[in-house]
Amino acid sequence: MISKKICLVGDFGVGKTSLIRRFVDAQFSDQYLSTVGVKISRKVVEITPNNQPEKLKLQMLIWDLEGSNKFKAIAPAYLQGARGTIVVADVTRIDTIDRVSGHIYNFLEINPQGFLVVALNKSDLVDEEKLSKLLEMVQSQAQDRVIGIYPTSAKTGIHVDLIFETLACAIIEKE
Amino acid sequence: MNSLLKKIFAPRRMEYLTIDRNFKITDTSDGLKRFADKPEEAVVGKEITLGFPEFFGIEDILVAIQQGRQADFHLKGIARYSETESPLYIDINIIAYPDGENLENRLFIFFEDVTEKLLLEQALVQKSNEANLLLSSLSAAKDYIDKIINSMVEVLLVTTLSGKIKKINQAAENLFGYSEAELLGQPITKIVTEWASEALRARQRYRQSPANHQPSLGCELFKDVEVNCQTKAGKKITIAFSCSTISTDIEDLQNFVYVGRDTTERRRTQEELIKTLEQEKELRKLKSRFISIASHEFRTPLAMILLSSDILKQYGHKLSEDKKSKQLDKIKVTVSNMTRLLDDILTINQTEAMQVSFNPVPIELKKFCQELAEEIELATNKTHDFVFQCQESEVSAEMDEKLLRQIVTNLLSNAVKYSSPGSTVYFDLLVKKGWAIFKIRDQGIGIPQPDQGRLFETFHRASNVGNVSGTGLGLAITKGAVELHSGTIAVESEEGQGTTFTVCVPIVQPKELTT
Repeated sequence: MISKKICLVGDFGVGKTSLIRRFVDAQFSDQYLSTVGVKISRKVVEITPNNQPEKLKLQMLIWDLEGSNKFKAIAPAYLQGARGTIVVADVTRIDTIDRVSGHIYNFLEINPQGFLVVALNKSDLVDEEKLSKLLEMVQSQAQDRVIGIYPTSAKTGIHVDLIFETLACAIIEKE
Repeated sequence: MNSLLKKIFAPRRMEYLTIDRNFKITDTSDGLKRFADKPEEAVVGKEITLGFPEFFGIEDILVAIQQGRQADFHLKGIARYSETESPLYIDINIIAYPDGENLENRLFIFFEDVTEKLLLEQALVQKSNEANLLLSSLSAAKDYIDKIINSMVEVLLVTTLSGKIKKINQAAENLFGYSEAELLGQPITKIVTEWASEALRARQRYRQSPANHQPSLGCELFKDVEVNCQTKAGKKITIAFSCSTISTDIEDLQNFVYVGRDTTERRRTQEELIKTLEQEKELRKLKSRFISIASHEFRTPLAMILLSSDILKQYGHKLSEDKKSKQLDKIKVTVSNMTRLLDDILTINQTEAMQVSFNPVPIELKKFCQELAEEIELATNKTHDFVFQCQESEVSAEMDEKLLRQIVTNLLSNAVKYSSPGSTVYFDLLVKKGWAIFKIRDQGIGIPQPDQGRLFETFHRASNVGNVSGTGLGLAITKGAVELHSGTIAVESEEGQGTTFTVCVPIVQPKELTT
């Protein structure tokens, strides 16, 4: 079975751990527990890449990285060997969206051939109009390695599986 | 060497393993398995990534270290825990060392238990992040509320119970012309000059017994009460305020929140509308009264003409020429009175519709008045003594001759009509500070006090006129003519003693009034 390493990066408190928990365990908790260091989760997904005739089983090794803040950046060592990353931002905190481009840059500096998906998390907390505007804002920051920008909600589960599977497909198709 | 390492690392909660060029485990310390993600895979001969997923993807780095191109590699704070287990954190360090047997480097990987350190760090990070999230959330909420308050079209003021201003919004700054800094700490009376009694009562009631209200919920004290305010520039404005209380951070201590709209323009429009409606109502009433009186005034002479013409038709052959002539004279006089009445009605109508032309021309007033007085004296068969007085040698003025004639003739005729034959009519012409003053005084029956206020209304006649004929239009026409000259007319009278009319007219007419 093929295994691929992907990372979740973003500012503290944007919901990286919650997205992984929703994806891997189909669970959600409102309680905030900050992540320190890194936690690696595994999930086997069945995907059908566009350039493959049949379904493929892929083991995703998902690195849940400690959130960055203005005093502490993400350690580059964690990003080594990742084929893709999900940059997570919190739609209720505009500063986390402003820093999306910084996270994209940091990842591509270490993995220039990697793929990225941007997850605008906690989308259940804002109205449609605000969400559209934020999507536009992130779109303008994105590069060609960014294969998708999605509003997500670990609470409702919306687009959570999609972001992981989209990233997995892109990684497999390009290899 | 391995046994030595095992002895060294054991007390330091450190474990190690070695791998060959194919990433297969070649040696492990005794307690290594507790650091593995899958302990059963952390044995000699197995590929390292099976038991330690963090090595997946960094094979290139491992090769670089093994080949001596990179000195080492560190991964810190790798978590190993599940829902049921207590957390375990490890740091991983990878270095190369020479293998004496194969003449190539082996990779030597150390694992150190850093759980205590990371748990401490987690507690600190948790507190710090929670504080930052709270701060961010509060700051966003404050920013949003400030934006709402400042984008309000309505004026917002927050005061203490005693009325000291604590906060104002942008709309209040714009409307009153003060900056927030100028109003903070100032009494609200700096801008509110006059409270409506309803607002005063509501606030007073609240101050006297705040316990009757539910402070935690806030309560509305009054709604849309108009109060008079003044801007920094001194402009008077009207604001419709609603007032509620809000609780402060101290229990049982409230503030007042005022939200208001500028209703100055609306109030002005409303007042104008009411005035227009009142005028319209008055006009309708006047017209209705006018038609009713006019029809009555016409019916009497018409009945008289009808009677005289019937007499002439049925009994003409029996009547003497003298009696026939008397009947014909009656008809003639009545028709003449009706014509006069019609003329007066027409004049009144034109004056009310602003259709009377006003053409001031140069005129010598003293001569004009003197001649007019003589004319009237002759026309009334000299039944009264006329005394005309003017101290000036001549009075050059600019007035509408036709209208002036109407004014003086009406007043002199009335003086004759309502006073006994043989009495004197005084006519004084005075000049004072650019004004011509016409005073016409008689010694007649006078005007009862209640009638004096309605004297200039159309068809109004004093209650003591008795059989003296008249249309009740003369003074209304006179007043209209005086007003066209931008003048005033006043009356002083005492029943049985006589009446004095005083007309004041500017000697020279302002240019814009001329038509």
